[in-house]
Amino acid sequence: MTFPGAVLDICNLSVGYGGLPVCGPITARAEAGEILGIVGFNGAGKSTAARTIAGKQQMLDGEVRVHGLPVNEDAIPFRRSVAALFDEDAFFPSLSLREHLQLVARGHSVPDPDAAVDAELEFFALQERADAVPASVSSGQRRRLLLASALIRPSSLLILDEPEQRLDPAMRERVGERLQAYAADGGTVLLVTHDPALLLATAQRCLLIDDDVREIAPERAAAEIAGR
Amino acid sequence: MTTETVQAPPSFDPVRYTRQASRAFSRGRTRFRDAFVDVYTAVLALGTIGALAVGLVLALRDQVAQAWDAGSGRTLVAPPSFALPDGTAAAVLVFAALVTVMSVARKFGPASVSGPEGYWWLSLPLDRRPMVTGRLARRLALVWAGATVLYLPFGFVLDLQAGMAGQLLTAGTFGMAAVCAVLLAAWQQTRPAPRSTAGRRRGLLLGLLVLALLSLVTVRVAAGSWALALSVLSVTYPSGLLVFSRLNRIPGRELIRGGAVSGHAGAAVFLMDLNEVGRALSAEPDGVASTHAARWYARGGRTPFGALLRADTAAFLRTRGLWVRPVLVLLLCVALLLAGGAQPPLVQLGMIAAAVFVAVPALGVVARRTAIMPGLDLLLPLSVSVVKLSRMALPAAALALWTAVLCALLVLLDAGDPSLIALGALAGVGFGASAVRGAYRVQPDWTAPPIETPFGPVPRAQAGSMLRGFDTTLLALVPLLLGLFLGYVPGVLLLAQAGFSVVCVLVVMYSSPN
Repeated sequence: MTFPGAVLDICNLSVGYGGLPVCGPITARAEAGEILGIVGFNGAGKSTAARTIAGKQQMLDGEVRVHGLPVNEDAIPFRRSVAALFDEDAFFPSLSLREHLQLVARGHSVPDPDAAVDAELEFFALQERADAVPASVSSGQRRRLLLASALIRPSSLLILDEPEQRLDPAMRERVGERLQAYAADGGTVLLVTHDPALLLATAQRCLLIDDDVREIAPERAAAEIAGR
Repeated sequence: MTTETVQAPPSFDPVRYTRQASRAFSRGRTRFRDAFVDVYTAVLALGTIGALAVGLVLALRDQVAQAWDAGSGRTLVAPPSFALPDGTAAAVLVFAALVTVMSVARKFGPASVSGPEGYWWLSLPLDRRPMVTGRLARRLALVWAGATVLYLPFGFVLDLQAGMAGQLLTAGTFGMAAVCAVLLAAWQQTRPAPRSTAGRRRGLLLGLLVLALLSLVTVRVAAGSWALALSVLSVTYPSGLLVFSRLNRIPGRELIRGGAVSGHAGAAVFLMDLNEVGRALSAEPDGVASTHAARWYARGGRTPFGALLRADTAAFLRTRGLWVRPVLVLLLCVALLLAGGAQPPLVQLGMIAAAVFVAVPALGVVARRTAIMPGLDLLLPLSVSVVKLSRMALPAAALALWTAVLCALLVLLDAGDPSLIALGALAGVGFGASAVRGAYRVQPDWTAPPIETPFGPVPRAQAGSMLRGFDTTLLALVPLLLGLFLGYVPGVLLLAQAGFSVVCVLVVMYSSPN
């Protein structure tokens, strides 16, 4: 089963390690301007699925298409259209926060990169520490830097793996608003989260990864997360 | 920002941008005095190491020449009745070194990116070649320089006939062959992973064939043949061009994997932690445990010790590639004994001892894994010494078998009577204990001051930590080497071997990790 015209088209996707699937096959699609939530227990396979959809990990079986083309993280057009954020803490030790963002902005040919960097630094409340190196800022600020790096660049599909991690409630709320604005601009978001408030504020549809994978309403997904 | 996609390929160079920004950061923080002290220390250290190495090599060269003269007529293993071409042993040794270079390079990538580079560079919509080229080129230059310098002492000690020009030319050619081995590993990265075992084997065989040819050519260069040296260069140069032109075909996750292994191993080398180096090189990329012996393991044990022994056995049986190094070392040792002509007994005993020292740590892999999580062992209702006994059981059995096979081969080659096999099996128990002792070696404490001795200050704490495992291996090795030297095994030697091996076991059971 495929969904012609969808930005993200996942068909019987099987993900896992060493040939062993970690969850049931996933079939889903997301259109332009849509935010698709993914929820599930720890170890259910949410992050593995997100990494596989982003092309960071080899799929065991099935098919994933972005704009009708198979996922291939090594292809330049794919990297141009897909932005992803995972639980990684890798920074250049001698580049400042500002320089990290400039690297991304210039690498993606963002028009007026300096202005774009300043805007992201302001949005994520990092201006005061903009010239500090990552080792000298808090883990929450480093997380904001990663979020800023995913949002400063042009993309049409944004894959976020638990973006709420290490963020204070106010920043979580702002991130939710930013994701809504991203979708309103025509972008598609795949949001893996454990935060019911963020899920309710953003997702239009939701996938629950459990023994099997099924689509449920965001309200029910938020209730499942809150009820654990 | 969402759909403002850029169509024209940007000309931005992230490598240069990062380098310039890093330099600007370092310039502001590096003082001239610190830089001078760093350079001075490095030059002084290299000069001292070089002078010591030259002295050692020249002394060894004299010793080997004398041993060769004095030992003529008596060998442990007689050369085969059929004539082998000159330089066969050297070719075998060079081949083994090149295979080692290729397999280690494959673990490191060799084309790779560091963690930050993987995250910040690889996600950019740019050609990835320039992101990988610089690091790979630096690695190739380092491999050439390192292999050339490392070959020189071996060449001087083992090839007494070659002149200085021949030695230098051979060393440079060996360095070039090592570069070719790294390029072969990089070429494997640029190919799509073969789906079948047969495909993987074909690729491996092709690589081994190229390395075998390079080995044969390298040892012939010692006669001063520039043409042969140039032929190695003529293979290496196009290989390099081919690999560099295909660097953009390497998947991002493969570049990141290689960078992770390199970073892990590099940090371990910096801390001089051999166990951590072993862990870095034996990391399994898919992170999935084998299911060998699952039913047997599920049956459990009747006592806590039985359960632990069962768990250690299952972990041992599930370790992939456990036997590769011991078996290859065994084959290499026997091949060198056979191909080296009428070698003096001391040289042959040295080769056997070297084989033991290389094979023993390979079988401590399970203990190396458990050593980093001592808390789990402390949860068991067993004393630490009993836990260590369980951990020793499988390495001891495996190394008893390995040493018995080695001795059986030596007996077949007329090195002594069959009682050597029993002596070898007993020594293997001590080697097994040593494998576990080495695996539980703690990191050297570099803050401990050296101890004053009549010979000057000695870093006893650090040396004691780094030599753990090698000390008991040597202890268990002495009777075995004596038996091999004598060519027969008196009863008292068998008893001594049993005693030494028991001492090794007790040392492991009752000594503290520090």
